[in-house]
Amino acid sequence: MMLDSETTKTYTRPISKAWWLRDRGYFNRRYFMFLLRELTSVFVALYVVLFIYELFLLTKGQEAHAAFQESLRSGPFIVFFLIALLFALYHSWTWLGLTTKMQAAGRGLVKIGTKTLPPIFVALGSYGAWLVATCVIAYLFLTL
Amino acid sequence: MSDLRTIKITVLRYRPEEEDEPTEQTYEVEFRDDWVVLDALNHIKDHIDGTLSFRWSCRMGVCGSCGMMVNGEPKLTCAAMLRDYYPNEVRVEPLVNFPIVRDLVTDMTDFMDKLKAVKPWIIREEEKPVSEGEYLQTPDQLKDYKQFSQCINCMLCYAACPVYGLEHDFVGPAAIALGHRYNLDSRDEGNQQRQHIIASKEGIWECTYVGECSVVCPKHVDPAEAIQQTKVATTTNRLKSLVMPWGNKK
Amino acid sequence: MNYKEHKSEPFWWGMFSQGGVIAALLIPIHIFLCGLAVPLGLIDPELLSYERITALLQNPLVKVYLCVLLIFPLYHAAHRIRFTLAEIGLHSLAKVLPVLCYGGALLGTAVVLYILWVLF
Ligand code: SF4
Ligand code: FES
Repeated sequence: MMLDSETTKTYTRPISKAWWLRDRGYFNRRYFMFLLRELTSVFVALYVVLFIYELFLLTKGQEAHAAFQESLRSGPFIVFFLIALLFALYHSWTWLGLTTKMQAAGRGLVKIGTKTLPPIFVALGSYGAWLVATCVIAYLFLTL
Repeated sequence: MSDLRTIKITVLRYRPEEEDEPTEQTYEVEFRDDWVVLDALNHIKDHIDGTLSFRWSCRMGVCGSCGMMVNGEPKLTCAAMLRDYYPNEVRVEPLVNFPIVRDLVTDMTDFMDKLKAVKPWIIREEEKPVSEGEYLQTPDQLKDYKQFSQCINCMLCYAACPVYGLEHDFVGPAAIALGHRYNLDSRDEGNQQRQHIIASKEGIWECTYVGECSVVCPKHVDPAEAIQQTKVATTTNRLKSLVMPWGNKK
Repeated sequence: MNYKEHKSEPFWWGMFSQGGVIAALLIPIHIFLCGLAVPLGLIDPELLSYERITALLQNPLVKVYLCVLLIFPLYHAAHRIRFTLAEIGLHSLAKVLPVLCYGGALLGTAVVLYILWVLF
């Protein structure tokens, strides 16, 4: 129905600020998981900033570096890294799954000739890339 | 199984001439096993309370006019079985994020305006005369956009979208998905004419991929993916035009 | 409503998604190795010794790798934080948030480049 918004008295129920916890009376788990997904970026950022700080300390000499390495052994840091790792993995999982979903809709992203590449290949490719990257970095870190 | 059971239905009511805010009203409805929520509403209107207002038409999931919130989720009420909720009560509310006109009826003007703005029809730079025949299309070309063409304009996706709830200027899932549908159509040449709205601040860039639109869509249109695909395409085109400004911009 | 194509969003979104890919592929193993495995003594702490790391940093390929690893995810996070803050209540700041968030990422980029190519 099209109506004259000047003369019709309508009522819009406002969305709450905490809609990811409660949206007009209901909790939606997917909204909550969305917020967790976005929150992963905060942990990514914190880790990167910490990494940059470590690099900076290296320029300050051996002492500074060793002291920081020592403090990383403390409980709070271990807990932080554990949580950060969980969030980082959740990011990998959701992000890589997203390319697969995009491939599965309509024309997808990758076409071979006139056909859309079946999404399973994109899934294998993106999760496979994760596995390869993870192994290569671990290998280089341990052996270089 | 006994044929008749009684279920409690709570409806959000809004009578603008009597009240400033919506109120609740609960009805008890005897229903048969094959009844949907819309049947219960029609039963209420016919036998219990003739003043209840709501919209419906086809009763078979094609017209897209019976969308309401059922226990907090946007649903086509002609496709929501009462037995799936029984013995719990059912709460029926108008689609959220839209202005309520009366009871379960919402104002869809905003959506209609946006839909029109994306020009959801085939645009040709030059129409060929009828005597030259149809514009042909291969099955593969049809497949490119078919999913996105299934939209019945029920607006469930807008009710599911918190981004639209927070920012009403957002062009929104269905309108963008329909624009994308025509952009992907091999017979269409209107890409450039839609870009200003689809790739506007209020268009794809407002979306943060909550993804709920695609979850609630009764026709599996997957507007979330349509938007993501458009972001990827727009970004790569932009990159291409920066790296090779002489390249043709289709 | 007057719509117009937005020219800079594709750039930020492009950085966001590049950063998203890089963070998805590389960050977990880095957190595990440097944040958990070494501090918990699962692997030899000498792997993160001053001598070894500074020696590695002589290699320009390592520097380039670190640039990629650190810079792109900053834009990824900046983009998400910008939108999430607006979505959880700071909608009224929607105009300032991009400046703050992307500004932070730009600053981070400068710091990384400065440390890696000037201080080392
Ligand atoms: S995209 Fe789906 S949910 Fe949205 S209006 Fe179309 S059919 Fe309804
Ligand atoms: S009445 Fe037509 S879709 Fe439900």
